Amino acid sequence: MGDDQFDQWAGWLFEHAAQPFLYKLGLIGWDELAFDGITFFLYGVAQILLLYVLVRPLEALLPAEEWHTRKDTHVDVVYTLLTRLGIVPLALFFLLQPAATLIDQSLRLHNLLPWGPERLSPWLLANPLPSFFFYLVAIDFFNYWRHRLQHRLNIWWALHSLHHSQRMMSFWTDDRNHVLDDAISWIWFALVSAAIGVPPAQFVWLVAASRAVESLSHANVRFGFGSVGERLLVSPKFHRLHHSVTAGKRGCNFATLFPIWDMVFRTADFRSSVTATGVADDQDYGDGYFAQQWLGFKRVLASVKSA
Amino acid sequence: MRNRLLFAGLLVLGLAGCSEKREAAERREPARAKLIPASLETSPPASDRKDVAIVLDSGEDAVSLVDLKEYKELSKFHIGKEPHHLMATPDDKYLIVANAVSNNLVFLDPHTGEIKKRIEDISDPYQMGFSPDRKWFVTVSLRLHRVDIYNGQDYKLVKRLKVAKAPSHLAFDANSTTVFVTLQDSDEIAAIGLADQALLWRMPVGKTPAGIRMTNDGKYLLVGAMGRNFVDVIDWRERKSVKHVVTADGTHQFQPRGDGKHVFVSNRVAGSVCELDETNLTVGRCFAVPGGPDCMEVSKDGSELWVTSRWIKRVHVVDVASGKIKHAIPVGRSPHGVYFFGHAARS
Repeated sequence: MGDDQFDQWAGWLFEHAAQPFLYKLGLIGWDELAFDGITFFLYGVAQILLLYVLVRPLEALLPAEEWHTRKDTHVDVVYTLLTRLGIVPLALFFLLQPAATLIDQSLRLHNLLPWGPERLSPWLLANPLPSFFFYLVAIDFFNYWRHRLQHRLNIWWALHSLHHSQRMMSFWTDDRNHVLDDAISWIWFALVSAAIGVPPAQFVWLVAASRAVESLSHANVRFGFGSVGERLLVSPKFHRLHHSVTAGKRGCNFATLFPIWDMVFRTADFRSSVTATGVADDQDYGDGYFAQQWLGFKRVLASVKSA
Repeated sequence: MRNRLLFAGLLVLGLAGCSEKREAAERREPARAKLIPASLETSPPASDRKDVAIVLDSGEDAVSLVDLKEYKELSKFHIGKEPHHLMATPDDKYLIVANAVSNNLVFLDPHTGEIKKRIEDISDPYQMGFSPDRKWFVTVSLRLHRVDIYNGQDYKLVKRLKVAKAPSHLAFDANSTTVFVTLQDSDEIAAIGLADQALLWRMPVGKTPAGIRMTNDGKYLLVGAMGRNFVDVIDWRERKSVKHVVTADGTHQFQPRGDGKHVFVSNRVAGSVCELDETNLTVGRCFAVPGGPDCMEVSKDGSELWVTSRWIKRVHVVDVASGKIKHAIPVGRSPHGVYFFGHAARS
């Protein structure tokens, strides 16, 4: 299905299903946001289907770990659906957007407007591909440091450890996050976006590119990208070491897309052994989505008290 | 402790906008807009210097140049982040594109779409307009609930006003004393005095007001009630609604036909455009334009109406005589503003 066909379909769906519904509810002022939401949802559906078709067979053919059952991966499917179909992002948007607007208003009143690299070079503006790559690298740099803080700060680790608690790590595990962890990451991303001026038109593609690599890097497969490729793009082998029980909170291989950050800041580990994933502690992380979220809240409260 | 500091830092950032410094900041020295000359610009693809239709693809940060005779997209180039609206300068020398997220204005050749210059530090310009006397240039920030008033000659900020929710479109009185702004999320219009740049009054209008237009005789404001199906006719001197002219669901934007009598009204939800007689405030015929019809342009001879369809990446060309769509031109994502130099009179 071509890009134009996909957009035509999304437009038709919006015009004939979502827009009349918004109108009846008296929410037509949200139509542009809802249109973006429908597009995000449909891209999410396409992305999940593609991942299942492309990565699931790899997990069956070249597994890093042999499992007799995939039962423990099922909860991660719930996380993936909630995140990639836009439900968690939408909830966070409505919760956090008023604060983001206040910050933006305040900065502008002090004549501080977001910066963008296009201000330095109109060439970047006229050539979206290098501009896209610039933003991808820049966001990945800040994500590397966010990830290091997630491991370094006890309160944040109390949330992020949920992501690491999966002992059956598969391509579904990427979105297994506590909702507060997602919220802080959203704030982080909003601040980075404000600082470097991420173009809204590229946002969907930046997210899509990042998530494609991240899903693959969590897959239960036993291959890397070769000695050179391994150093250019985060591979399943590279990221599996990050999730290993032995790495734990201390961690290594924090990069999301480009291992260069781990190499520069001396946190890279390119050893090739396949290790078990999970967190080496006695805590109960829960089995279902709600249990895991609740236990996450309890962990963070305990962490605040002990700080 | 470090953990607490991080969370405290985030909290402080979140609350930064609540400080009492806001009022003080509003009294600060106005910002100077920065002008980037044409020599630093990257030119768009050549369009053989022939007249084109210029379409803003808000969802792609781009401008589509469309052949007026072949009815097809000739080229597309990136212009800035989230271009929503465009308008010609009062002398017709330039076409201004307002990039909301880039915080700038880009000046194009109105014939060919070639970039001529760029003015930076125009905060979140969603919609814009010049007062009839050209003294004032006003932009609204739908997202940040602001109306910015600039000097119409040098685009220097004179006043930034906080208004109620989601200022969307604007219109001026003939004497250039007042700018009227629709407030989409508070179901009102606001009147702002231009001499002292102060809010004069606000009044309730039809739900989710979008487009606003002063009638040719200067008596009424026409307000598109997007949350309903009518044009709210406002006697702005008396500050009262005098009539609801029913068009269709999602009444949105206005475009004069150029005959001094009729105005086209786009209906975003119904997927139609209606013709409103401004002299007796009645609706004549309506015709179907699918895909979320929004901004419009009329050819000089009045034979063609061009309409952007936001949801389906199309510009529809309607034969005005028959009311039938004669061309559906593929353009970029979320096409919004549309313009060509050989347009009908704005009355």
